[in-house]
This record gives sequence, structure tokens and C-alpha cells, in this order.
Amino acid sequence: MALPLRLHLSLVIVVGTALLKQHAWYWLGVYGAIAFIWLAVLRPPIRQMGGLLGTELIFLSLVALPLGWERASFLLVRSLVCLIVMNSFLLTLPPHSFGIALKSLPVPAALKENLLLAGQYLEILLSEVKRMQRSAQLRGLNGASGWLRYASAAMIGTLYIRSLDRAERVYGAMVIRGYNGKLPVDSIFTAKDRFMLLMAWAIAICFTLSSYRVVHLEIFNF
Amino acid sequence: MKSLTSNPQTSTRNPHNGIVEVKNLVYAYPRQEPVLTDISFSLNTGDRVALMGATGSGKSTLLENLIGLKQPKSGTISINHIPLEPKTLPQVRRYIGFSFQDANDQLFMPTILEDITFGPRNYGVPPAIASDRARQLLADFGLAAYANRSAHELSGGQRRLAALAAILALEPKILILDEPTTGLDPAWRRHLAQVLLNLPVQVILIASHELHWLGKVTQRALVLSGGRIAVDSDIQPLLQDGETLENLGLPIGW
Amino acid sequence: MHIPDGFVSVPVAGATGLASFVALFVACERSQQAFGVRRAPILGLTTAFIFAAQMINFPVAGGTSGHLLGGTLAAIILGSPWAGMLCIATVLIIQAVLFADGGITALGANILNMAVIGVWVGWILTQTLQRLLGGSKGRLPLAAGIAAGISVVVAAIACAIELLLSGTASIAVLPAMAGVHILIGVGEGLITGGVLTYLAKARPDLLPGEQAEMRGWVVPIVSIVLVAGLLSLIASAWPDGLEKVAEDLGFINLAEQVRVAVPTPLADYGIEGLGMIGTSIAGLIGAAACFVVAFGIAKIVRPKNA
Repeated sequence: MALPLRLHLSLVIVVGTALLKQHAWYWLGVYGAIAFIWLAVLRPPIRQMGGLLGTELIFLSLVALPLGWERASFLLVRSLVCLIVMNSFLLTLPPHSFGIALKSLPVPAALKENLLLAGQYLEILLSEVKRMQRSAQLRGLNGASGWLRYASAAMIGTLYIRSLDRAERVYGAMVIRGYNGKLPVDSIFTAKDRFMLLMAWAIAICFTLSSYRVVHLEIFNF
Repeated sequence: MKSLTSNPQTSTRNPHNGIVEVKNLVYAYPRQEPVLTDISFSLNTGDRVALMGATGSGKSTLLENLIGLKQPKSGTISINHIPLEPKTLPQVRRYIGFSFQDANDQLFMPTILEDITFGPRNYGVPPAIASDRARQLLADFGLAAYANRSAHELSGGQRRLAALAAILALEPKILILDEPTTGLDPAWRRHLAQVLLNLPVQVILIASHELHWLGKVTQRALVLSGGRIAVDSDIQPLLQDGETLENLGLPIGW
Repeated sequence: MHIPDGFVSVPVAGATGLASFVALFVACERSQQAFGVRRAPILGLTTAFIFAAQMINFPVAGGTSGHLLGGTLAAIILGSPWAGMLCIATVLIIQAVLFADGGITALGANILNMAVIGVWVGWILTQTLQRLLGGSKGRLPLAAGIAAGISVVVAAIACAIELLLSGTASIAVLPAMAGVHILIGVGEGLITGGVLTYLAKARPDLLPGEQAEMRGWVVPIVSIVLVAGLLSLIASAWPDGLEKVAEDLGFINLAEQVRVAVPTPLADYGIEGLGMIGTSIAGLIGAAACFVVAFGIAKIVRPKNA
């Protein structure tokens, strides 16, 4: 399944789940089932998933538990379902595809340009950070905390200066190929994808609104 | 020091009406002494020229002046018979393809295909035509499989080619390359040389330190020294002249 | 303080989403004016820088280390709080979508807290503190450090308020969040100040120069709000004392009316909880009253081009 479609379907499930009415356990169960189907479709590595969910849940429990068990359990399960869906997506992201994933987000033009360029140079800057940290460690980064703070501040400062220089070069590269302020970005969904997404949104809207008893779905007769 | 005069072997040279005409160019960084004190040269159709000079001699600065990224203090540059001025920049830049030292700086779109269609689309070429042209270029360079993938998946040599394709998409007449062999192993350097030798552009100007490689790809050499063009001659005789090269800060064999 | 999915209610998500959207819209316009054609590469690379910088371990105190949030730093190095907003908002979107750090439905709230409130509080406080400390260029790292620390705490308070209004956290979250984030704020202040000190030495041309004349009323107003806020915090530690004063001055009636206006989820929590909020809101109203008075005075007393 193409990356943008995978991202958008994940977003539909998450938004639908997160906006459910409090204590709508039935509909949470429905979304939970959808989440597990999604998990089965995408097949993320389970151990990593477990690790990510575990740390998140500990934090959430601290926030929610004081509310009382009934309320807290609903909040936690709801968050868990959302986390399963998003982590399934991001654990199966192909390497080096930040920009491709972000390209499809429905945001205004200026923000999108920022997202794309940031997504593109993220990898390069992150590897620069790793290299800096490694070389600092190899030089025995140790000592009084004042010195360590200076070293860390210097690393961050150097990173900034380098990224600014790079920004000037990228600007030069853009402008000599005719850039005039608008990045040419395309719509990337095929008609079939768009249809699938529309259906997904329609279903999610029905499910979530049902939990508020605004729309009463007759098919699930209990 | 033996003097090397221009060898009229590289024919169609019209000394005052070249595709790239630089006359008495002076460039200085703000509040500093000029780094380029008096640059004059002329490039004609068919020229394959090496720009050489010791580190700090101003090669990159000169190239950036040619593309309009830096403004000269005095002197004139004309590209394709159009004088280079702030208002003619967009027009003139269509004729030049410029490649930076770090290919990563030029591959800033999410996919390779978009990097290549970036230029044409900025100039109004319809997306479908731009895509076709881009795919053709990728196929020529053996990168067709990477069209919808990110630049980060490519090796250094592949990135260099992708950046080159991105520039060629605008069908420039003049190709300017700044240290194109940076980070390439010998096999890739050979591959790049073969690609460059077969390009349908009118002028190629390459700034580089790799003297042997330049000898295979270019016929003429401009050497920067002391802010001036110290040497403007055919490259083969220059490469044989170890003493001159030494004096210009380019010891051969190192 | 990234709020995850499911912890903001529909109305809070909607309201914060709308507020963030409008703020970002304006930010796009303003940063276009400030940077022109260079906007995309400069902001894009700075955003990537902030993201990468957040990965660097920064020792705070006695073995603990913190990480940069970067709102104040972004605004200062870019010279524009609007650009800073765009950068942090982009970082938050990337974190939510690609790293599951922060919820999708909570993006409106997270952007409002960290990209809007965090950046603006940091920016305004930096200007104010720098002037209060003498206005010279050398005072920037210190002013920015303090401002950054405070901005983190303010953002955390906003976060706590949103959780409360959504009914997804108990009243204890307000002091808890504020308390924890005071520690985080110290780290943020140290990092921000440290980086700016380094940049001032390495590339002084990158940082803004002497503080231009700020509009006359900002310094006194911000000082008053700061003082009022501090006093409120202190006062809330002695609720009985404040209640007595409030009773004497008739403030309690104000709290009663405010109680009705507060949305229903909090009704479950009983009157004690509401009482505390009533007090804080009364404190804020008091500060607002001071602001109006001070603004009026400043306008009358200070000549226009002082």
C-alpha cells in the first residue's frame, strides 16, 4: 500500500478513536478491532511496538489514575488504541521516507514547504549530531558539569551555524533553478486512493458520531 | 618560468564574443581586500575548460559570480550575449547549469523525480512534460529505479549524477561544476568523466583539484593565482609542466 | 508535555485547533514578509536544526540531563517570533506524525502551548528582561535564558488547563505540571543561555543587536503581570488568607459567578476544586485590571516618543 494512503488511513482511525465520547466502550471496542486489523495488515515488529507502548502507558497512567479507575481505564485504552495505530504506521516506514510521508499532509502551502525541507534535511542533521557526539565521546567527554554544559552548548551552537550555512547553499541551489518562493508540490492520490479515503472517513464519522447517539446505527442491533 | 601562450588548436575561438565573457572582474568580500583582482576570459562553443587554483585562490568565488550568487565590485560578465545584472538574472540562469560541491545541497525535494522536475516547473513547463523529461534523464543515468525514492537512498556517486540530472533538466547551454569528484572513488570518477564527455552542452567549466581527471575531461585550463588568471592554455602541455604548476601552488603527483 | 491522543475533549481540540490554525496562518504571512524568497530554506533548515538539537543531552544538575524545547531559541536566532512559531509547529507535526510523540487530535493544543504561547512568552520576556537588565547585547543570553525557562512553565500551565477542561486529568495536574516543568524550565534556560553565549562568541553577527526602543507600555505591563502572577502563586499557597480577604472585599461573589461559567466536566470534581480555580481566575482578573490601569497611566504619563 502506498505510503501516503497508509498515513492517511492511520490518521482516520486515530482521529475517529480519539474523538469518541467518554465511556463509549462499545465503539472503542470496534475501533480496537480495526486497530488490530491494521496491525495485522502492516505487520510492525512486535517487540519494538511493545517497548514504545509500555513507556507511553506508564506516563499516561500517572496523569489519568487520579481520576478514578473507571474513567482512567477508558482513557488509557483509548490512548492505547491510538498508539497502536500510529506506531504500526511509523514502525513500518521505509527508511529515508520522511519527506515522502510528510508530503501528503493537508496543511497550508508555507507550512508544507517547511515540513518538506525540514523532513529532507532532518536525516542529514541527525547524522551530524551523531557524529559530533561520537567524536566527543571518543575524546573522553567527561568532567565537571560546567564543562559538559559548555561542550553541549558548543555542539548545539556549531550545529546551528552549520545548518545556517547549508541553508544559504540550498537557497542558492534553489534560486539558480528558478525558485521564486513557491515550491512545486503535487497532489499524490490516485482516484482510487481518494475513494478509499472518502469511504474510510465516512465510516469513521458514522462510528464516532454513533457514540454520541447523534446518529443511531441500526445495523448493530443489540 | 616558461610562458604558455594560447594554442589556437581549440578552433572557433572568438576572443570577444564568447558564450561566457568575463571582462576585468573584481570581487571583494565586504570590508576585505579583493580576492579576484582582474579576471578576464572568454569561453566559446565546444570549450571544455578546467578552472584550477590552490585552495583559497577564489575558484568557488569566481563561479558564484558567474551564476549571479555574488555581485562583482566591478567588471562585466555576459552569458549568451546577455549582460549579467540583477534584472536579467532569471533569464540568464536558464542557460547555466551549476553544480555545488555537496550534492545534498541540491537534492532538497522528497523524491529524486521532484528534484529533477523542480527547475523546469519553476519556469512554467507543464508537470507531465517535465516528468517525462526527468524520467528520460534518469534512465540515461541508470537511476530510473530511484525516481520515486529519496535522495538519501543513493550512494555518493549516484547523488552526484542525480544532481547533474536535476541541472540538465533545464537544458542549459553552459555547465559549471564545482569540485564534482568530491567523495567519489576512482570507478565513479571514471563514470562521471564518461557522462560529461557525452553531454550535449556547449560549454563545460569545471573547478577541481584532480589534475589527472581534469586532463581526461577538459582541453583547456584556466589557473587562478593572485586574484588573476595566471595561465590560460591547453591543458595537456600545462600538466607536463611541473615547474609552472609548482609555482602556482598545484604540485603535480600529489 | 506533548499531550497524547484521547486526552483532549472534542470542544478543547476544536478550540485549540482553531486558535493554532489562525496563529499559524498569520505566522506564514509575517514570515513571508520577513524572509521573502529565502523563507523556505532558512526556516526549513532551522526547523531541522531544532529537531536535531532536541536530541542532544544537556547536563542540568547532579547527573540529570535535559533536552532543548527550543521555542525561545528559535525566535531569537531567526529574529522573529512568527518564524519561531512556524519552526516549532513544524517540529511538533513531525513528532506527532512520524514519531507518535504527541497526539494527532492533540496537535491543536500542543501547537498552541509550545509553538504559540511558549514562543511568544519567551520572545516578549526576552525583550523585556534584556531592557530591564540594561539593554546591552551582552545581556541577551541571560535574558533569553530566564525567558525560556519561564515560557516552558507557562506552556505547561496552559497544557494543564487544557487537560482539566477536557476532563482527562484531576485538579492535581496543575501544580504537578507546573512543578515538574519548573525543573525542565531550568534546563531550557541553561541550554538557551548557553547556546546564545556560544553564538555570541563564535558568530556575533548572527544575533540581534542592541535592543531597539520597545513600545513604551510593554515593559511596565509585563512587569506587572509577572508580579501579579507571582503574587497569585504565593497567595494560592495560603488559600485561607486569600479567602478572608476575598470575603472582605466581596471577591467571593465574583468567584461564584465564575463558577457557573466554568464548563461542566469540572462539576464532577466538587466545590473545593472549583474554589481553587475560582481563586486563580480571580488573580488573573486582578492582573488584567492592573494592566488596564497601568496602560492608561503609561499612555497619559509617558510622552509618545520616550
